This record gives sequence, structure tokens and C-alpha cells, in this order.
Amino acid sequence: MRRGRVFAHRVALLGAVAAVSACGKSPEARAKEAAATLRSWQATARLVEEEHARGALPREFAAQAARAAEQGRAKAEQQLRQASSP
Amino acid sequence: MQLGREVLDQQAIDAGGRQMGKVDGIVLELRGDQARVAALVVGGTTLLWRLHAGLAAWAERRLGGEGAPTRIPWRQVVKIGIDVKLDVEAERTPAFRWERWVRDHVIGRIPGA
Amino acid sequence: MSKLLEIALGIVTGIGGFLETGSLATSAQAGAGFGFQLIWAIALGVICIAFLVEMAGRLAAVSHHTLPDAMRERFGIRFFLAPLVAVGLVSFLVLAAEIGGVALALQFASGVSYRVWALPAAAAVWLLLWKGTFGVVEKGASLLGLVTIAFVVGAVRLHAPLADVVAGLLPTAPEHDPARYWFTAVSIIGASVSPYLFYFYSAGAVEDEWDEGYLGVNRATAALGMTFGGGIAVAVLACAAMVLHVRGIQVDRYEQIPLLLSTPLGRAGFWLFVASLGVACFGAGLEIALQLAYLVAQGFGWRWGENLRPREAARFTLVYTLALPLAALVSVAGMDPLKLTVISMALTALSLPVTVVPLLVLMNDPLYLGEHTNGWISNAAVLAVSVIACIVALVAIPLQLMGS
Repeated sequence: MRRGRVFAHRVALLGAVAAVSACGKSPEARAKEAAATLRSWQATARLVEEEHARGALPREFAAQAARAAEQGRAKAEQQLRQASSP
Repeated sequence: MQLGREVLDQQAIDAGGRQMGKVDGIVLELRGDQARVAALVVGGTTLLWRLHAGLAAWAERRLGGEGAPTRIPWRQVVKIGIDVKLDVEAERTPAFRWERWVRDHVIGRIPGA
Repeated sequence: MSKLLEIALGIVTGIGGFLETGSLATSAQAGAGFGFQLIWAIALGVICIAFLVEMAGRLAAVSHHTLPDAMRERFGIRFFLAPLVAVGLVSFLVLAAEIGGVALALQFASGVSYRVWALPAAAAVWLLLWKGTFGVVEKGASLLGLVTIAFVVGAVRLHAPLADVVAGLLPTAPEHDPARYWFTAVSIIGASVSPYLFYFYSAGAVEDEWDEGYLGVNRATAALGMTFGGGIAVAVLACAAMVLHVRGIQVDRYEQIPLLLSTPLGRAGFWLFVASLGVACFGAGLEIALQLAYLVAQGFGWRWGENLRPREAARFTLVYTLALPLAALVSVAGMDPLKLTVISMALTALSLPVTVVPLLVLMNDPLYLGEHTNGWISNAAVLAVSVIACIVALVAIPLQLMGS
């Protein structure tokens, strides 16, 4: 029982350390990450459009993928704004 | 024979070859200074007693007779091997109470069961 | 001759049964995010699961015990509870993810949301378990699963460079996003070493009444089946590297993954992807739901067997009858299928020591295995992979959760 508790404490401690180090991510790092995500979604939207244009994707799915890309882009833009204006 | 290793927590098989539960407990009988196995216990709240006495006592109060385990006298133990073969009909013992209940009230009511 | 047939069938099962939402999504994320760099994680997972499947089969063939049976008997109810709860929870989460995968395939095909499809998908899995026999569930699912070979065709059409694939077998440190890199590595291992695979395998070996004569077949099946199966996961990773990584696309939503096959194979590729996702997740869903029922029934000594009529094994049947709709509710509630999948896989990796170490103890016990106990290589390999995966998961999961 005791040993279990000590182990649980260690796990909690490790989790806390990890959490703190993650929250302490610098604004620059977060901005960089958001920018990469933004580029990824822009590239996704382009690829989906190309694929749909050459007939590789059904219209129905192309619309779903485009919508996902749009949502992802909007979220990344918002994160980018938050990261650059503390 | 090591009771704990070879009997306890083994699969119990009834006379018809059906799995009827695990050997959840063993009843020992003291005669003079010698202990001998009187019965094997299957099902009911037996398992809970081995895990947490408070929880088991609570379950026993809540369930009443429903939680009573099945005692199989030692003379009805046919063979101990990969599993424990018992000379009883699982269907007629309380060990099958919940199996029967689930069959009659839930699974048996679905078409095609 | 019949032994050869058994091995061939085992390989088919390995190939058709390997890919499911976990290995599909994690391999796609790895390829998109890090090119060919994470192939080593697939290899490590494959080695570990091949050893574990072989062990589960050997245990069943020699001792005629399924895994939960032997664990309960060897460790008693107290220590059995830990693997029971860990495997139960992880399997339930993975089941939820697989049903999400089937529902998502139906969404891609129809345009109707996966949240609507989740319950019908679970009902279809349930119906097949209710009506089918073990052979139908196991062999049928893996035969249909052969459609996932489409990823190999895709990788070849994309001219994935073999040199890069081979180079990826060697573990290397990431150049960017270390938190994401290690999290992805751990989820890949979790996806390959899903406990349902070897628990299911042990129940199957007992249902098929294996004896010591099957040891050779068992070894060949485990090694070849898992290696070929892992090859499919590598193909998914290669497709993602060639289609997404080069364009700077990382996988954040499942909607991005069909592009892996539509890009090299056109419209046919899109439909092959939808079929692969649907069939692979459906097959895995069947096996996991059944495995959950096996786990509980074997742990408590209830009557069990997929070949029995439902009313002959009522409590066993009740377990999958309850687990399926509950698992579907996770998707109905709107949990994102990709997030659900990746989190389930990472948690699987985290729980590996609890699910794997009891098996190792059993496999070294001559009372169960006689002269067929484990050699040191299999002990060391499985122990090392599961402990390392658990430690990395312990650090990477919080980092990833906080980061996103």
C-alpha cells in the first residue's frame, strides 16, 4: 500500500514537471507551431482542390475535407494571433 | 497437494462439462489438530470477501440470499487437473443464478438467442 | 500440407488483421510529420507483438489455458484485477475508436456525419457476433482486410525510396518537435502492441483446440503474419511521407488521410481508402468486442464461446451486447475520431507493463509451459519494449496534452 502511494506521488510529480515545462513554452515557440499548423492547413486545402479538380475525390468528400481545412485554418490563425499578442 | 495453487481460482466444470464459475473459496474443517477440505465454494459474494471485507459485508446485506455462494462438498469433486470437475448440475445450483437471470430476462428475449 | 495451409491462413490473418484505426492513424501522422524517420517504431512494435502473440498461442497450446484463465489461477483474484481492469479499459477505448473508424468511413462515403453512423455501425458488429461463429468472425474479417494491401500499391506507385525506408529502421533523434515525435512513436507502439491482439489470439487457440503439435505453426504464423502486417503499416507511413510530408501537411484531422491513396490511385484510391478504413475497423471492432467478452467470462469462469448460441452463454453474450453500444456513444457524443484513436493508442502504450508482465511471468513457469518456457531473448525483447514504451508515454502524454 505504502509503496503504491510513493509510486503514485512520483507519477504525479513527473506529470506536474511535464505540465509546467509544457505551459512554459515560449510565445515564440507557440507562434512557430501555430504558423506551421496554418501552413499545413493551407497546403491541405490546395491539395484537396487539386485532387477534386482532377476527379480523384468525389464532390461530397471534397466538401468535407475543404470544410475541415477551413476550420483548421481558422483555429490556427486564432492561435497565431494569441501567441503574437500576449 | 497445494490447495492455494492447484484448486483455488481454478475453473469449475459441472457434470455436463459446462463452465460454472471459478473456485472462489475453500472451506476447511478442523478435526482435532488436522485440517481437511470440507467443500469448495463457487460464486456469490465469496470473491468480494477476498478483496474487501467492508464491501463484501455491504453487498451481503444488500443482496441477502441472492449473494449466497454455492458450496460443493469435497466428495462431489471428481477430478482436479487443468480445471476442477464437479459432480453437480450447474443449472440447479445458485452458482448459475445470475447466468439464468441474464438468460431469461435479457439475452433470451432478443430474437435468435 | 495442411500445416502449410494453416501457416498461409495465419499470414493472411496477420496481413488482413493488422491495420485498424490505430496503426492507420498513427502511421499516417508519423509519415506526414517526420517522413520516413519513425519506421523504427513500427518495427519495434511488430517485434514485440510477434513475440507476444507467439507466447499467447504457446500458452494455449501447451497448457490449454487462455490468458485470463491462467492469470487468475496463477496470481489469484487480487493481482488478476490489475491486468483485468487495465486490459478492459484500454480495449474499451480502442473499441470506441474502431467504431468511430467504421462510422467515419461511412461519413466519407455518404456525407452523413459519423455521429449518426456510430450506433448503426456498432449494431452491425453486434449482429455478426450474435449470428456468426468464431471462424466467420476471425477468417472473414481478415480476408476482407486484405483490401488494405492497397497502401502497398499506393507506396509503390508513389516511388517511395527504399533506401529511406531502410534508413528509417534505425532509431534517430528528431530535428524538430521532439514532444510530438516521441508521442507519435509511443502511439505507434501502442497501436501495434494492442493487448486485444494477443488476448484474442489465446482465446482463439483454445476455441480451435490447439495442442503441442501446433507450436511450429504458431511460431511461423506469429512471426510471418505480424511482419507482413507491419509491412502494411510501413506502406501507410510511406504514402503519408510521399503525399503529405513533402507538402508540409501534418495530420490533424482524419479527413486528411484519404489523400494518401487518392493522390497515387485517383478516384479508385479514394474508394479503396474508404473500404480499407471501414473493413479494417469493422474487423478490429469484432475482435475487440469479442475479446472483452472473453476477458470477463474467462476471468470469472462463466460459460464462454463464440460457437455457442447466445442463450447458452448468456453473461458472456451480455458483455459484448453492453460494450458495443456504450463504445458507440463516445462517437455519438462527438469525440473527434482521430483524437480518440491517438489517445487510446498512447494509453495502450502506457499500460503495457501491467498487461504484459503477468504474461511474461506465466511464460516462465514450468507448471504451465513444461519444457516450452520462454527463452531469454523473448523475455528481454518484450520487457524492454514495454517498459521503455511506458516510460516514454509517461513523459510524452502530458507534454502532448498540454501542448495542444
